[in-house]
Amino acid sequence: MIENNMTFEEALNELESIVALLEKGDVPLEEAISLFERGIELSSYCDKKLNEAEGRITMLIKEHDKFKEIPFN
Amino acid sequence: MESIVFSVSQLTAYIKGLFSADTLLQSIFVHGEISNYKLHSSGHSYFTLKDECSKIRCVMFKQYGQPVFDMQDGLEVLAYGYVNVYDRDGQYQLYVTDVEPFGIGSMHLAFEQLKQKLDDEGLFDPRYKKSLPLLPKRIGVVTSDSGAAVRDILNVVKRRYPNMDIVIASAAVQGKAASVQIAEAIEALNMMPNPVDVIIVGRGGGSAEELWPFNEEIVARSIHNSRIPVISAVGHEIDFTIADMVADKRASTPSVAAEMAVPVKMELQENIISLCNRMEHAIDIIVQRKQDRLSALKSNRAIAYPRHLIIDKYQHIDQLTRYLFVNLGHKVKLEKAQYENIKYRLEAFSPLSALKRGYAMVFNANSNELIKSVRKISIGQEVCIVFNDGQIKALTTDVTIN
Repeated sequence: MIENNMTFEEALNELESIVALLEKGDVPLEEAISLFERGIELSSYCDKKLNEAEGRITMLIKEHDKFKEIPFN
Repeated sequence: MESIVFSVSQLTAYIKGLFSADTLLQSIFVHGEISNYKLHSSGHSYFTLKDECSKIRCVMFKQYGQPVFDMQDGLEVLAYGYVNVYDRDGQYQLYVTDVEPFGIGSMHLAFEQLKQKLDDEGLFDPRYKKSLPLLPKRIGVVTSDSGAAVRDILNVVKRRYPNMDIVIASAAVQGKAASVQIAEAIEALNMMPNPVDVIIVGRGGGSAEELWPFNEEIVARSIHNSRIPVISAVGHEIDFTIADMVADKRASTPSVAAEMAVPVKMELQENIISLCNRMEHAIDIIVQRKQDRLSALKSNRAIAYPRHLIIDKYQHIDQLTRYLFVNLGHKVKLEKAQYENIKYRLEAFSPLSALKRGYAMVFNANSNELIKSVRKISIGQEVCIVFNDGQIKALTTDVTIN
């Protein structure tokens, strides 16, 4: 399971180190398979993170001493 | 000659009149070194200008504004103003309406002074520099919402990362109000409930005066105090501001700042795909290697051709059985001989052979028990008498015990 507060960068770093470990090759088969599974999980988490933002552009304005966001065009 | 007696006030007024009548003293530049500088809470400032031999008291009223640079003791300045008498103290002084550092521009000096001050405080220390996130969830932009910079930034971000969320905190980026607005915008972005991960602060190119707000202390401090990493992007490559020095990262232009803040989404996706491919390739190799090892093991005679092993075993078993049979056969023959012998000896004692010789056996007709004594028999009892070639039933008519 991937903790939801994991950043994209952390997930990517872990994925990279898994790839490096697997490429080194001297891992027992059982471990290699669970690393592989973790890697697949991480890659789909990264993909999810990449698509999280919605492309919204807003402007921060002050109204009655409070800040609020309005669409920017 | 009758002397005229003046009051102090009259004399002072007379002297003041002399000063006022002198055109030179009404508009004069004075070069000297500042000492005893004091900025009064009223906003007026008081100081002395001096050189090797003389000094003159100076006052600069609030309405003439504060110079951009720091009025420090020991600073050589060129003061402009008029000379007159301060009635109450009876002292002449220079009423300064403008002051500039001597030999260099005010802004240049102000820049150098602030830079020195912030440097002394450690604000440019690399340990304060926050690193930028690889992938921000959302970015903040502090600039004029009507400037060229905001358009440049939006275009670059959209191109690199089409679904990036952006929040713009608009601020004037030139003029007197600019520095306060920029500082407020940075603070506002820091207080948002839905925070940004990186802030771009900047504007497009302009004159040194237009870029000036980014050299002001309040902007420098707000950048330093920002929890969120700040990228400064002021003017062009050649423009270097105090904001640039305090910021976590300095971009030469707003477009470059956008490139620093936001990754190219496609590249990240390709990177992940390539990592997945490498991972699959790597696991293939690992599995292949295990299979190779297995094959190598299989080619070992014992494992590759288990039948050989079994045949060997069979052979061994055959051998053993042969031995077994040989032994067993011998034993059986031996035992058979023994058996014959015993059988022969048994036959000698067999009741049947006795019967053959003419003996007979008497059984109780009811219980089929062999009767070995006349005492076991009574008159009237039915008995069965077995001969060699048959049997008869008989009734006991008399019993005699010897």
